[in-house]
Amino acid sequence: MRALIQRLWQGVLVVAIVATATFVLVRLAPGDPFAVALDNSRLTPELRAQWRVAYGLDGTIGTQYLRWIAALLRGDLGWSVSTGQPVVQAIAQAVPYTLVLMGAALLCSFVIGMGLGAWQAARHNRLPDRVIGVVTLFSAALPDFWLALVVLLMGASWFRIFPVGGASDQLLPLSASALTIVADRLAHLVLPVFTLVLLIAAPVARQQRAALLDRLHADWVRTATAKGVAPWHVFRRHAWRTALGPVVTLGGLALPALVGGAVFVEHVFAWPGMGELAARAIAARDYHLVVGCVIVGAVMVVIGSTLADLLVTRLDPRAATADDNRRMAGS
Amino acid sequence: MLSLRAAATHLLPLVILAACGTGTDTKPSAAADSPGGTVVISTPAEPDNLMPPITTAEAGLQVEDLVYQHLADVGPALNTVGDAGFTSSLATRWDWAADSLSITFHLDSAAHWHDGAPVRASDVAFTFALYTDPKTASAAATQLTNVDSVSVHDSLTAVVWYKRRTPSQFFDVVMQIYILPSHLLATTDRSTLASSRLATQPVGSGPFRVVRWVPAQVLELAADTTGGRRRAQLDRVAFTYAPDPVTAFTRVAAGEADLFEAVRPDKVAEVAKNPQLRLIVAPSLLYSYLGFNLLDPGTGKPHPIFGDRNVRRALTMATDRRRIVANMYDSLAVQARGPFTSAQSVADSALKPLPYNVDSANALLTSAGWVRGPDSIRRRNGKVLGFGILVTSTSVPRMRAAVLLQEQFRLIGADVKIEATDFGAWLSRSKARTYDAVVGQWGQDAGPANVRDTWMSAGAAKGGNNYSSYRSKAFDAQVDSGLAAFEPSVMRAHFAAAWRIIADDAPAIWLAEPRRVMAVQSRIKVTGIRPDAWWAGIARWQIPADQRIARDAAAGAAR
Repeated sequence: MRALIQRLWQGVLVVAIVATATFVLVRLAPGDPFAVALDNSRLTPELRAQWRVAYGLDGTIGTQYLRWIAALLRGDLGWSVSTGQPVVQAIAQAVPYTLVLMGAALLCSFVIGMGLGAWQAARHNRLPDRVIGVVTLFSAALPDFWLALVVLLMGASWFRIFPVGGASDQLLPLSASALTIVADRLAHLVLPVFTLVLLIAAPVARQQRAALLDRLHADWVRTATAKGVAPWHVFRRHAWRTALGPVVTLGGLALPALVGGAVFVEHVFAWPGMGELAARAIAARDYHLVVGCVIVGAVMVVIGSTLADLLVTRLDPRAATADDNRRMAGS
Repeated sequence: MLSLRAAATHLLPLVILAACGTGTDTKPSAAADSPGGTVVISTPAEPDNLMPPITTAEAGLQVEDLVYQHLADVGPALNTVGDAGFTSSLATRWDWAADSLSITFHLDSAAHWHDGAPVRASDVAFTFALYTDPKTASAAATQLTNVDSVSVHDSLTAVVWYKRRTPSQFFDVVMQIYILPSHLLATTDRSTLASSRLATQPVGSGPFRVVRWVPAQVLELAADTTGGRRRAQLDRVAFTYAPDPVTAFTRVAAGEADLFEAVRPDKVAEVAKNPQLRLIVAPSLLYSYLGFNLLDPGTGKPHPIFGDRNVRRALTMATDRRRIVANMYDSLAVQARGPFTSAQSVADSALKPLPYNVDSANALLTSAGWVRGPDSIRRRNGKVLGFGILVTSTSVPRMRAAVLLQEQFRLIGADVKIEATDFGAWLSRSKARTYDAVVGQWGQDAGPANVRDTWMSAGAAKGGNNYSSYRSKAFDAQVDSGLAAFEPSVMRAHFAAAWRIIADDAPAIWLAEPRRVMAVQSRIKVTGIRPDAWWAGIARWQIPADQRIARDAAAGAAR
């Protein structure tokens, strides 16, 4: 419990540092939150100055920071210039979409990746292992933006089964049945989830395979086999369970993506989630929205890594023992 | 496979004719006349707000033009002198005072706001007060400085009083402001209009009302059928947003949307091959250029290279603009002749830009003291003829232009570096004038007044939009005279003289006038595309009843 509280304090500190650094860096970068609007020959310097005051973007970085902290303490993350609404509202609108997309993608990726990795390990150095190894290596090496575009264009030109963009058909009639609406939502998920699975499942499979191969040659597995335990039982209880650690850690690291989203995939598939929101905020130099997105992402990283540590300890008690030993050695 | 050039050769004449409204679309039958159908516009750009006084981005203007009304609309010829080129809109007619210092507008008695309230002359007076209130911080206020006041004669008659008579006094009022509902905005704090309810749920008097706006997804408009005016031919217009232009185009190619407004040259052949789509090419009010910074970014003194008029002229003559324009836009653009576009009433098609002549360019540089060294690079007093070209990396045509300019300048002994940045950094450096040369693009208003901000001395001051810091009293005088002329022919003559002066001074190399290239589903009968606003005629677009599809039938019942 004490360790957990300590981790949480560390987490708060990390979020504060990341938010402050982002606040400063985004303002030091060249550009302007009114860049698009200001690309208008009619706007006078006086008007620009007036807009900056109106949006709290006047004064030094220090002044702006103090104003921002004061607003933050009231639960106000500021006004998003690019979306024309409060930052909190913009994030609240985007998070559910990212949760659905990334939840589906991570679930499919980990199920498929862990299954493939285990299957490969059980057939170590045989043809299926080698073929899947090459495929997963190729898949893991693909740039996400390129892959997303290829899937999009194939979906639009060849298959024409699934919608090529958006989270739903916004023009469905009100009279559409619940089944039609659900089917429409699922259809819109197919292409972006497929792309993400291609990208995420490959490293999961490779991690799972490597960890399992390591455990399959461990002493306790040999002992269990020698004692006559059934091979499936040895594989599942003695090898696979202890080989979950690296995959769980990978899952913990992937957890922030549940809220942070996948920038390129969301961008290409017009998915109105957090990744796209953050990318748009950066491109538009929407200072408040950038910092808001970073805060959400940092909080999720802290939660994800904490949860992963707890889960690894639960799955493999040796991890907790190792931590205790390190602490004792330190004292 | 149909090549781009072949597609362009066969299709462009037809589509340009169509865009000009000269009858490429077949005459609608009686069935086609019945209103109905949905047009889904797929676009990467979403409005930041729908509050006209503070809207500057085109994405917002597209929606506002359909939801709100001007007092009158400019015609396709974009003649902004007097009122001859205008058609009625919210005002059915207007009368000029004998001294031209006031215009009386008679409003359409059947005009209603989308909430049912009638449009009144008091709304006109309120709107003027709102636009010109410093708290509103409206960019349009600078165009309204010649208006003294707006008075209400009776409930349907508003009188606009001017300080002085000018050629564009009618245009300045009717096209710069949309009439807004005073009963909904009277109590709104004018300094926070962006966060008001009407900024996302506007209530206008135009042909379409806003049904809903789901951020980053869709903005749906439905034809307003509550007023007594002629209703829109379409039932519904929906803007669907896809941040990536490729995705936005792909939605149209896949049949999920009906229109994409900015087809890239490499996609033209794809559109031509798709039997469900057709291409519409229309004039635009954009021109691109390579602007020289006439001041040294470090010292503010004349630029060591571009401060010399002969060097600028030499670089202009070393530029094969035909090749550059073809590489930028293939056949979907024409060479720009100056800081204007062909669609503007002040365009001068007879203007002869400096010719492409590398020998003359070399001679001019040598005579200016820039002599080639053993490495073929020119130097003067030990200083290399070298400079950077600032360009936004997100624009493929502009990047292509920068690369070709670099190569063409190398041939005359200039050492050019390309400085590619994202749009924000590009704009920031352009405004701060911390560059040597920049590949830029300006969009024009229907009227010719933009040039005052972008190329006249007034805009050269710090904070102004004349990023090249070009100053010429002769040019200023001609433009001022042109803007003050009441006779269109006199106005054109002054502007023609101004264009000659700036072409000779060469503060920039005028590159291309890109056309507006749109992909549209064939079932939609498009009409009334204006160079400054392709969407201006949407209320008159039609979808024949026998060509409507499932989404056309769902109007008024979307979720």
